Amino acid sequence: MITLHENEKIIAKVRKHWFVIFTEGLFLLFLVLAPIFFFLLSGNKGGAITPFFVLLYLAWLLAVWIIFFVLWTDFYLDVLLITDSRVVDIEQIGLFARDMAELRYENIQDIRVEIGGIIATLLNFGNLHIQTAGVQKEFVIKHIPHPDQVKDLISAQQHAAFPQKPT
Amino acid sequence: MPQELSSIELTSVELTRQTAQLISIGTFGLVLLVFVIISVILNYHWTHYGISLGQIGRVRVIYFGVSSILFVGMFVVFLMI
Repeated sequence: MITLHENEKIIAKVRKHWFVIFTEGLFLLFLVLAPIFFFLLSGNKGGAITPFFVLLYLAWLLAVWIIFFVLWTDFYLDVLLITDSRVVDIEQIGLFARDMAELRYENIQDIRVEIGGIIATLLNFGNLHIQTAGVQKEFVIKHIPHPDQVKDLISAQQHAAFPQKPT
Repeated sequence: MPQELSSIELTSVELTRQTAQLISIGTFGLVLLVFVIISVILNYHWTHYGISLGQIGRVRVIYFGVSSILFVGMFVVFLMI
Protein backbone atom coordinates (compact mmCIF):
# COMPACT_ATOMS: atom_id res chain seq x y z
CA MET A 1 0.00 0.00 0.00
CA ILE A 2 1.26 3.52 0.58
CA THR A 3 3.18 4.99 3.47
CA LEU A 4 1.26 7.72 5.19
CA HIS A 5 2.95 10.86 6.39
CA GLU A 6 3.17 11.58 10.07
CA ASN A 7 -0.26 12.49 11.49
CA GLU A 8 -1.86 11.94 8.08
CA LYS A 9 -5.36 10.50 8.23
CA ILE A 10 -7.23 8.64 5.52
CA ILE A 11 -10.60 10.32 5.07
CA ALA A 12 -12.00 7.96 2.42
CA LYS A 13 -11.11 5.04 0.18
CA VAL A 14 -12.94 5.02 -3.11
CA ARG A 15 -12.99 2.00 -5.40
CA LYS A 16 -14.57 1.62 -8.80
CA HIS A 17 -18.29 1.01 -8.99
CA TRP A 18 -19.44 -2.61 -8.67
CA PHE A 19 -20.94 -2.41 -12.14
CA VAL A 20 -17.40 -2.56 -13.58
CA ILE A 21 -16.66 -5.99 -12.08
CA PHE A 22 -20.24 -7.05 -12.76
CA THR A 23 -19.86 -6.56 -16.54
CA GLU A 24 -16.58 -8.46 -16.51
CA GLY A 25 -18.29 -11.18 -14.50
CA LEU A 26 -21.07 -11.40 -17.09
CA PHE A 27 -18.49 -12.06 -19.79
CA LEU A 28 -16.94 -14.81 -17.67
CA LEU A 29 -20.40 -16.27 -17.08
CA PHE A 30 -20.79 -16.47 -20.85
CA LEU A 31 -17.46 -18.32 -21.01
CA VAL A 32 -18.71 -20.77 -18.37
CA LEU A 33 -22.00 -21.42 -20.14
CA ALA A 34 -20.77 -21.35 -23.75
CA PRO A 35 -19.49 -24.96 -23.85
CA ILE A 36 -22.82 -26.19 -22.42
CA PHE A 37 -24.79 -24.26 -25.06
CA PHE A 38 -22.57 -25.57 -27.84
CA PHE A 39 -23.05 -29.08 -26.51
CA LEU A 40 -26.84 -28.71 -26.39
CA LEU A 41 -26.96 -27.06 -29.82
CA SER A 42 -24.97 -29.91 -31.31
CA GLY A 43 -28.03 -32.10 -30.74
CA ASN A 44 -26.23 -34.64 -28.61
CA LYS A 45 -28.56 -36.26 -26.08
CA GLY A 46 -25.84 -37.10 -23.60
CA GLY A 47 -24.25 -40.11 -25.19
CA ALA A 48 -21.00 -38.31 -25.81
CA ILE A 49 -20.51 -36.90 -22.31
CA THR A 50 -17.41 -38.90 -21.74
CA PRO A 51 -15.27 -38.35 -18.67
CA PHE A 52 -12.65 -36.90 -21.01
CA PHE A 53 -14.87 -33.99 -22.01
CA VAL A 54 -16.00 -33.47 -18.42
CA LEU A 55 -12.35 -33.19 -17.41
CA LEU A 56 -11.70 -30.64 -20.16
CA TYR A 57 -14.74 -28.65 -19.02
CA LEU A 58 -13.54 -28.68 -15.41
CA ALA A 59 -10.14 -27.41 -16.59
CA TRP A 60 -11.98 -24.69 -18.52
CA LEU A 61 -13.94 -23.74 -15.38
CA LEU A 62 -10.73 -23.55 -13.39
CA ALA A 63 -9.17 -21.27 -16.01
CA VAL A 64 -12.24 -18.99 -15.88
CA TRP A 65 -12.10 -19.04 -12.07
CA ILE A 66 -8.45 -17.93 -12.15
CA ILE A 67 -9.26 -15.17 -14.68
CA PHE A 68 -12.08 -13.96 -12.43
CA PHE A 69 -9.72 -13.55 -9.49
CA VAL A 70 -7.15 -11.77 -11.65
CA LEU A 71 -9.90 -9.33 -12.71
CA TRP A 72 -11.18 -8.97 -9.17
CA THR A 73 -7.68 -8.28 -7.84
CA ASP A 74 -7.22 -5.65 -10.54
CA PHE A 75 -10.60 -4.15 -9.60
CA TYR A 76 -9.93 -4.21 -5.87
CA LEU A 77 -6.45 -2.71 -6.02
CA ASP A 78 -7.58 0.30 -8.05
CA VAL A 79 -8.27 2.74 -5.28
CA LEU A 80 -8.50 6.45 -4.71
CA LEU A 81 -7.31 7.48 -1.26
CA ILE A 82 -8.42 10.81 0.10
CA THR A 83 -6.39 11.91 3.08
CA ASP A 84 -6.33 15.18 4.98
CA SER A 85 -3.30 16.36 3.02
CA ARG A 86 -3.45 14.77 -0.44
CA VAL A 87 -5.27 12.56 -2.89
CA VAL A 88 -3.56 9.34 -3.96
CA ASP A 89 -4.71 7.55 -7.08
CA ILE A 90 -3.50 3.94 -7.26
CA GLU A 91 -4.16 2.02 -10.42
CA GLN A 92 -3.35 -1.64 -10.83
CA ILE A 93 -2.69 -2.40 -14.49
CA GLY A 94 -2.91 -6.14 -15.03
CA LEU A 95 -0.75 -8.21 -12.71
CA PHE A 96 2.62 -6.67 -13.37
CA ALA A 97 2.13 -2.92 -13.59
CA ARG A 98 1.02 -0.39 -11.04
CA ASP A 99 0.58 3.34 -11.37
CA MET A 100 0.46 5.59 -8.32
CA ALA A 101 -0.16 9.34 -8.56
CA GLU A 102 -0.15 11.76 -5.68
CA LEU A 103 -2.09 14.99 -5.89
CA ARG A 104 -1.40 17.52 -3.20
CA TYR A 105 -4.25 19.87 -2.40
CA GLU A 106 -2.18 22.96 -3.15
CA ASN A 107 -1.74 21.73 -6.75
CA ILE A 108 -5.39 20.95 -7.46
CA GLN A 109 -6.91 23.67 -9.62
CA ASP A 110 -10.20 22.22 -10.77
CA ILE A 111 -12.33 19.15 -10.23
CA ARG A 112 -14.89 18.02 -12.77
CA VAL A 113 -17.42 15.19 -12.73
CA GLU A 114 -18.40 13.35 -15.90
CA ILE A 115 -21.34 10.96 -15.94
CA GLY A 116 -22.09 9.50 -19.34
CA GLY A 117 -24.78 7.04 -20.36
CA ILE A 118 -28.05 5.75 -19.00
CA ILE A 119 -26.56 3.03 -16.81
CA ALA A 120 -24.03 5.41 -15.26
CA THR A 121 -26.82 7.89 -14.59
CA LEU A 122 -29.14 5.31 -13.06
CA LEU A 123 -26.44 3.70 -10.93
CA ASN A 124 -24.75 7.00 -10.18
CA PHE A 125 -21.16 6.40 -11.19
CA GLY A 126 -18.81 8.33 -13.41
CA ASN A 127 -15.39 9.80 -13.99
CA LEU A 128 -13.65 12.38 -11.89
CA HIS A 129 -11.31 14.79 -13.67
CA ILE A 130 -8.82 16.57 -11.45
CA GLN A 131 -6.93 19.42 -13.04
CA THR A 132 -3.57 20.10 -11.43
CA ALA A 133 -0.71 22.52 -11.73
CA GLY A 134 1.76 19.67 -11.93
CA VAL A 135 3.55 18.12 -14.89
CA GLN A 136 0.64 15.82 -15.61
CA LYS A 137 -2.14 18.35 -16.07
CA GLU A 138 -5.20 16.18 -15.63
CA PHE A 139 -5.91 13.04 -13.69
CA VAL A 140 -8.93 10.96 -14.60
CA ILE A 141 -10.31 8.54 -12.05
CA LYS A 142 -12.75 6.34 -13.90
CA HIS A 143 -16.03 4.71 -12.90
CA ILE A 144 -16.20 5.76 -9.28
CA PRO A 145 -19.49 5.60 -7.38
CA HIS A 146 -21.13 8.86 -6.28
CA PRO A 147 -18.63 11.08 -8.09
CA ASP A 148 -20.38 14.27 -6.93
CA GLN A 149 -19.92 13.32 -3.29
CA VAL A 150 -16.26 12.44 -3.91
CA LYS A 151 -15.74 15.78 -5.64
CA ASP A 152 -17.37 17.60 -2.70
CA LEU A 153 -15.24 15.64 -0.25
CA ILE A 154 -12.01 16.54 -2.05
CA SER A 155 -13.10 20.18 -2.29
CA ALA A 156 -13.94 20.24 1.40
CA GLN A 157 -10.56 18.77 2.28
CA GLN A 158 -8.84 21.27 0.02
CA HIS A 159 -10.69 24.14 1.68
CA ALA A 160 -9.81 22.77 5.09
CA ALA A 161 -6.14 22.52 4.14
CA PHE A 162 -6.03 25.85 2.29
CA PRO A 163 -8.98 28.01 3.33
CA GLN A 164 -7.88 30.95 1.20
CA LYS A 165 -7.72 29.07 -2.10
CA PRO A 166 -11.04 28.52 -3.90
CA THR A 167 -11.45 25.47 -6.17
CA MET B 1 -27.73 -58.58 -27.45
CA PRO B 2 -24.67 -56.43 -28.19
CA GLN B 3 -22.27 -57.67 -30.76
CA GLU B 4 -18.76 -58.51 -29.62
CA LEU B 5 -16.05 -56.06 -30.63
CA SER B 6 -13.47 -57.30 -33.03
CA SER B 7 -9.80 -57.12 -32.09
CA ILE B 8 -9.28 -54.16 -34.48
CA GLU B 9 -12.14 -52.26 -32.83
CA LEU B 10 -10.74 -53.08 -29.38
CA THR B 11 -7.32 -51.73 -30.39
CA SER B 12 -8.95 -48.57 -31.70
CA VAL B 13 -10.90 -48.08 -28.46
CA GLU B 14 -7.73 -48.66 -26.43
CA LEU B 15 -5.78 -46.16 -28.54
CA THR B 16 -8.52 -43.56 -28.11
CA ARG B 17 -8.55 -44.15 -24.37
CA GLN B 18 -4.77 -43.79 -24.17
CA THR B 19 -4.88 -40.58 -26.24
CA ALA B 20 -7.58 -39.17 -23.96
CA GLN B 21 -5.49 -40.09 -20.91
CA LEU B 22 -2.41 -38.38 -22.35
CA ILE B 23 -4.35 -35.22 -23.23
CA SER B 24 -5.95 -35.28 -19.77
CA ILE B 25 -2.58 -35.54 -18.04
CA GLY B 26 -1.25 -32.70 -20.20
CA THR B 27 -4.29 -30.53 -19.50
CA PHE B 28 -4.14 -31.27 -15.78
CA GLY B 29 -0.42 -30.45 -15.66
CA LEU B 30 -0.82 -27.25 -17.65
CA VAL B 31 -3.72 -26.00 -15.54
CA LEU B 32 -1.87 -26.89 -12.34
CA LEU B 33 1.23 -25.01 -13.51
CA VAL B 34 -0.77 -21.90 -14.47
CA PHE B 35 -2.73 -22.13 -11.22
CA VAL B 36 0.44 -22.26 -9.07
CA ILE B 37 2.08 -19.34 -10.91
CA ILE B 38 -1.01 -17.11 -10.86
CA SER B 39 -1.78 -18.02 -7.24
CA VAL B 40 1.71 -16.97 -6.11
CA ILE B 41 1.32 -13.64 -7.95
CA LEU B 42 -2.21 -13.05 -6.60
CA ASN B 43 -1.11 -13.88 -3.06
CA TYR B 44 1.73 -11.40 -3.37
CA HIS B 45 -0.69 -8.67 -4.46
CA TRP B 46 -3.22 -9.48 -1.75
CA THR B 47 -0.54 -9.47 0.92
CA HIS B 48 1.38 -6.38 -0.18
CA TYR B 49 -1.19 -4.07 -1.73
CA GLY B 50 -3.97 -3.02 0.49
CA ILE B 51 -6.22 -5.89 1.43
CA SER B 52 -6.83 -6.13 5.16
CA LEU B 53 -5.91 -9.36 6.98
CA GLY B 54 -9.53 -10.36 7.52
CA GLN B 55 -10.32 -9.96 3.86
CA ILE B 56 -7.19 -11.85 2.78
CA GLY B 57 -8.42 -14.82 4.83
CA ARG B 58 -11.87 -14.79 3.24
CA VAL B 59 -10.53 -14.29 -0.27
CA ARG B 60 -8.04 -17.15 0.15
CA VAL B 61 -10.69 -19.51 1.49
CA ILE B 62 -12.98 -18.82 -1.47
CA TYR B 63 -10.24 -18.89 -4.11
CA PHE B 64 -8.41 -21.99 -2.91
CA GLY B 65 -11.61 -23.72 -1.75
CA VAL B 66 -13.32 -23.61 -5.13
CA SER B 67 -10.05 -24.32 -6.94
CA SER B 68 -9.50 -27.41 -4.77
CA ILE B 69 -13.00 -28.68 -5.55
CA LEU B 70 -12.35 -28.28 -9.28
CA PHE B 71 -8.97 -30.01 -9.02
CA VAL B 72 -10.45 -32.90 -7.06
CA GLY B 73 -13.23 -33.14 -9.64
CA MET B 74 -10.66 -33.27 -12.45
CA PHE B 75 -8.72 -35.98 -10.64
CA VAL B 76 -11.82 -38.10 -9.98
CA VAL B 77 -12.93 -37.78 -13.59
CA PHE B 78 -9.42 -38.66 -14.75
CA LEU B 79 -9.63 -41.94 -12.83
CA MET B 80 -12.79 -42.75 -14.80
CA ILE B 81 -11.11 -42.37 -18.20
